[in-house]
Amino acid sequence: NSINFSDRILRIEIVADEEKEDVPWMLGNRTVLRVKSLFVTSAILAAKSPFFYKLFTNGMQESGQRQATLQILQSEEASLMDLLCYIYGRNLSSTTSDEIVKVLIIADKFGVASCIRHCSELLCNF
Amino acid sequence: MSGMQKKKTSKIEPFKQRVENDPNYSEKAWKVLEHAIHEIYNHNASGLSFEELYRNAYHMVLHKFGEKLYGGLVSTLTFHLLKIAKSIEAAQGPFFLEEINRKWDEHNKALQMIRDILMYMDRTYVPSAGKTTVYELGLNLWRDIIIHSSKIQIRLLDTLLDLIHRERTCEVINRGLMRNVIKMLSDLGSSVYQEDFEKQFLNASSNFYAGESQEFIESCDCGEYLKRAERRLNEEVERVSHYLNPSTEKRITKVVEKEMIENHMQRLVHMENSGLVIMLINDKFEDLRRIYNLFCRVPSGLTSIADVMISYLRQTGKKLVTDPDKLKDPVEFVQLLLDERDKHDEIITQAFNNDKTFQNALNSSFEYFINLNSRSPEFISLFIDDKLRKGLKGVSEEDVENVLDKVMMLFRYLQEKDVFEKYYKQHLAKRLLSGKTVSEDAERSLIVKLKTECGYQFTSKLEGMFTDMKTSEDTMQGFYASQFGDVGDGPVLSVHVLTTGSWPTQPTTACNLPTEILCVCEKFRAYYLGTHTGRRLSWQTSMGTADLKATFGNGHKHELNVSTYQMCVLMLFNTSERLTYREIEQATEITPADLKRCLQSLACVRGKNVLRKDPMSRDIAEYDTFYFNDRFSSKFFKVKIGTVAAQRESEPEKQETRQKVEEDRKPQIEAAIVRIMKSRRVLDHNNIVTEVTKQLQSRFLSNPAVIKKRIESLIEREFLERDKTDRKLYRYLA
Repeated sequence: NSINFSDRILRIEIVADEEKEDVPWMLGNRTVLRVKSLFVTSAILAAKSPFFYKLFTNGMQESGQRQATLQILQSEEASLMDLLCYIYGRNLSSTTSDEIVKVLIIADKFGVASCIRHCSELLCNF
Repeated sequence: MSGMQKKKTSKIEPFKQRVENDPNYSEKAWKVLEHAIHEIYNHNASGLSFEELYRNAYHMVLHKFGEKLYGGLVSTLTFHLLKIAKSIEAAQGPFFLEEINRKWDEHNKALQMIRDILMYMDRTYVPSAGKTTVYELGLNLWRDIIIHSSKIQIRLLDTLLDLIHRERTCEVINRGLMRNVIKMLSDLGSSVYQEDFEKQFLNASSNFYAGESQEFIESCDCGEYLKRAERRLNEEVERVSHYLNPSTEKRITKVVEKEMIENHMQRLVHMENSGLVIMLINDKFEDLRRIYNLFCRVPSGLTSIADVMISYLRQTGKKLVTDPDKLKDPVEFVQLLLDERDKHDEIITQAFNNDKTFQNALNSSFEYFINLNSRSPEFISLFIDDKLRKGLKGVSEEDVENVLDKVMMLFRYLQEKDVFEKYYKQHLAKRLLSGKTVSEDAERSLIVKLKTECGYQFTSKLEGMFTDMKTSEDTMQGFYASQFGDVGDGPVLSVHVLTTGSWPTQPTTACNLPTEILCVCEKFRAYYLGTHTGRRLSWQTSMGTADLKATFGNGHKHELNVSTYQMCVLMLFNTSERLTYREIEQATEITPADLKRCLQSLACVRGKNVLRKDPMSRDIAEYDTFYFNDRFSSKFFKVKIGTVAAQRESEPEKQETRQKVEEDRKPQIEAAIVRIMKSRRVLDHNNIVTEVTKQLQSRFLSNPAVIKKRIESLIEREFLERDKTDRKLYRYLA
């Protein structure tokens, strides 16, 4: 997450989890709780995740900008950070099976095959 | 593990339930995506947020709206493609292809973006629902809506074929565009390329080349035609490399080969004034190479060349060996054969890639026509004789080997190798005895070659002749050493002791030797029989030579090199000036034929007439009279008086040799029969004949009738018997 080695800023908008009558995945008009900015290296993310690869290259809005925005639920925040750590080559900090399942879901969302495999192995060992 | 999975599902299940109750939201999400797809087709993709679209698609799939998403995609794509089809159909003339190409390009780019935002669906929903992936779906829709549209399909094909036709007729076309469009067809699947394009392309090419080849063959000679065919082939290969699928190369070249070569093969080869035969005659290496390269591409192409070549070789060869003009000079004749072989050998190595088919054709043709002339063995031997006598002087050792190797090639073609052996023996004997052989190395090397070709048996007698020459030298040294210089002024005798059997047998025609000679001969006989008891010596006067010192009028002195017979005759003139034919015949007892020949060479050859004849006619008659020619003169001190010897055999001699050869074959055939029967015990007639023929092949071609006679003779002599029940079976009697 160092500025020095990064070429992009990943802006993560964290929105509140569902309100009763709301549908959780229609996030567009939800209030943004807070914003987190991370300095990332696009090459590393793109290498591990086809989502990020396309995000940075496929010619839509984000490809041309230094800053890309991800919108996630509050409940996903911890898992996403853990996934990013994993992509950068560190171990997962999640230890409980619940936590790991969450990471697994996020990894599946972004297609991080190595992390999916890793999580599955961890879960098998419980 | 199972416990854990429960956890996982228990976590997700409530998640789902919450979602399912509101289809409106999925509808909203789809609207967002649908709008995005429209925007992508309208080139407004850069304004879209990839993250948002991906997220929407992700959630739709995650919450079981995959089918809705996929269905929506199909209908949206279809909508756009129908629009594209309209605009392509509207394109006029030359812009048609360009429009297709441009739209295809756009469609491809759009597809890639759509694939990207629907990546999650591609990864999860598509495989589990058994659908095709987004990209493939896009291609299939393009194929069905655009390419297979009734208004486009035929027009596209016609346009492509028309362009290719124009290029064949030397127009310049936009190859880049062609490449792109054809690449599109291949990208849509190999079946599209093959069905929609390649098949028709091959058909059209086939028609085109059928017509063109017909036109060419009417208007060009063979060489020109082949040049054009080759150029066409290269063009097609080039075309494939430029803008067709590589898999087409084999097919299109096959079409060209079939239309341009295979269908006209016979006509090309037999073309008058320019076909294969003319090429062979005129050494057209380039054309021949071309015809080889082209014809080896089509089935039975090479055999058709080889067939023509064989019949041509046989014809010319037959003409050559039966042409009485050419047969006059055996040396020339064999040289012609060698030249002919060299020429075609060169053609085969230069133009025909040294192909075995043609080597065999060449060999079989030569074998065929060389054996048409029964004198070939004699002539080949004469050729070698000529080379070894004088032809090899001043020629390097390698060249000698070369010439001999080539002659051996001809020898290999001979079926009657035993006839050759017979003649070769005679010629060798003459060479050895008259000391005329140029190089003993060359002689030996030829013997070695014959030995490797035909085995030890074939050459053992020839080698025996060389040994005899060597031992004779030693014997003569021994003889003169034993005489203690006792010989005095008497003539110097040199004797070659020849083993009977190794040398060609000549009927011993006794002749009366002059007394001076007779005396030395007797001394030698005594010496020889003294050292080798139990042997018999007989004098072969017909093969010897003598050097005479003669003094003519005005004191002219000459040394005359003559044969033994001539010496005998000339010695008579030491005592008398004038002798009649009768007197000479009585004194020498030489047979009339030999005597006439020897007198003719002494009296009738210009410049060498040491005798004078009365009357002065060219032939020797029985009542002629001979005088010593006192006025004989010559520029040279040494005068060699050759016998008017028949170099080639005369007709009766030839018959005689043939008879001898036939006679010699009998024991060989019998030996072969006995060898075979000894190992087989029982065998039927046909098998014996084939086996015998096979065994004797290296020496001569045996005649089945002769073999039959030999078998009968063996039965008479109780070596074999016929089977009692089956008359065709023979049984060996130990």
